[in-house]
Amino acid sequence: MIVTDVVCPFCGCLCDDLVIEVDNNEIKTVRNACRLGASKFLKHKKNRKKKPIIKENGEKKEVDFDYAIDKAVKLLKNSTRCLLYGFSSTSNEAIEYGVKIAELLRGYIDNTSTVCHGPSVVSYQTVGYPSCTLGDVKNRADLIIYWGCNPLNAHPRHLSRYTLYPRGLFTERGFLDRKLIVIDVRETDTAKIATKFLRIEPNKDYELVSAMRSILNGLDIQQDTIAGIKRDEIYEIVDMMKSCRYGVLFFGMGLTQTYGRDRTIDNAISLVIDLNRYTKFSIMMMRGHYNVTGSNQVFAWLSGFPYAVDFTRGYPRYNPGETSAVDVLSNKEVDSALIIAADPVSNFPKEAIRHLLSIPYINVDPFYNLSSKYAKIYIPTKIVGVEVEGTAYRMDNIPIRLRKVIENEDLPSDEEVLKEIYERLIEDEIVIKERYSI
Amino acid sequence: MVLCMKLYDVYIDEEKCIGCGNCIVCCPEIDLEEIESGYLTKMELKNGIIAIKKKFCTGCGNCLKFCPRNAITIR
Ligand code: SF4
Ligand code: SF4
Ligand code: SF4
Repeated sequence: MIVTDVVCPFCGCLCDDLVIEVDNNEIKTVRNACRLGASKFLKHKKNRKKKPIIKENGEKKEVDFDYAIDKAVKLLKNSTRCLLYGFSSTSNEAIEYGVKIAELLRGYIDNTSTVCHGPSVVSYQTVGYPSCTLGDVKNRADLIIYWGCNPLNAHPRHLSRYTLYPRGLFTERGFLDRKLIVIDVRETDTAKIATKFLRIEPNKDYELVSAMRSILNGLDIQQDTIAGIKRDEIYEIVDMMKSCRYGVLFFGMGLTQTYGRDRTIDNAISLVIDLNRYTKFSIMMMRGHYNVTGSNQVFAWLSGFPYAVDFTRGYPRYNPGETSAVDVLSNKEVDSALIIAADPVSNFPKEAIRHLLSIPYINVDPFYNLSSKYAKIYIPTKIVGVEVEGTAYRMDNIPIRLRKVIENEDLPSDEEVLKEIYERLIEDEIVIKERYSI
Repeated sequence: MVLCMKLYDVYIDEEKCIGCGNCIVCCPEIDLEEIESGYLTKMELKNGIIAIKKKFCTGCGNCLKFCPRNAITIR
């Protein structure tokens, strides 16, 4: 059987042109995907479990789903403050139940943007987000800038599907009609194919953005070099920006996580706003996990805030740096956690991991990862986009429906597990009465 | 007058290729229908194949220039 128009559930590009050959419920070939995307389909059996695993009296044992969910509900019910974390690799439908559980339990809820594009999200709440869709980029953009990101490694088809190469409505000759600028601290694979590559000194992004804005605003640059880049080169780049018909600035972790964080992004967004006095210019974050954008969206539409939401007072509060996952863990403010589709044990700071490992936590994930290994309760689920349908948001905030390619009768989906936990908690009136002092 | 142009074969090193598709979308000569499988890439569990192997390559060198992994040889 050939399944067409499959959406790739790997990176924020959400390529939706995959063609997959399935024979007897086995994936045989994946067409049109890059190697990263193809491996998610072809190696979907790797690191999977068929039954939940519970740690009791220091021993791990396999149990059935009903028992595991029951134990999870008891754990959450008996804890004072819980943290829900993850959500970047699951469907919007599952995220919705996550937010409902956090609200019901008066806990904290956060998604993985807290350790990646968190500062960018804070920035666009401060100065706005003059963005566009990837369709606009494909059809109109004649100047592409990648700043602090290396899509050829992290989003391999970004250039061939949306930015540099495709032939669009007003870019009929594909890459011949476009210019590519890469600004990075090292010469990445993307930098190698750029029309112009600027090697910037680490942590000097704010200075370079400010210099560009100064030129745009009619001031003169006095220094010979700024952020390791020659004065003339900065003028040349600003000229290229001003004279394009439609420019897009894509930025990644290299800009977000440098010195200045959200202030650097504020400045970069303001640069784009300034450029709009001369031409049409947009800015876009390069989102990593395929649905991290969706987690921001769903959090925002349900609580008003895109990440690091604190329900402990019974209403949503938001103060990244205080209510974000890393901080509530480092400050030992939670005594249980529910980790969904993420692996904080392998990428959180040491202090946060230490506390996470000292409290009982539940891990709901299709793959058995490092966080699953140390979880008190691990519940395996179906892979969204491979074994179950779901909705996800592309990096340009376009919702796309993921398809199911093969059947998996053994496991529930993330959504089903979270829904079951939520419903069992709701049934327990004592929880609600105690938490809301009714 | 007959214009005689040498045509080349394109080989991709499957170990190096990441399947980004740059070489295909930047090629002025390529016609997806004429590629072996009709798709940009074709990957199986054991081997990943990017599907261009053609007899009508004019050797313009675009794909060589834009391949991030230097996976292409033209003979
Ligand atoms: S670029 Fe991203 S979404 Fe597209 S096929 Fe590769 S991993 Fe999947
Ligand atoms: S050398 Fe030019 S014509 Fe030949 S395959 Fe590469 S891009 Fe196409
Ligand atoms: S450009 Fe290179 S890495 Fe990309 S698909 Fe072609 S051969 Fe593979």
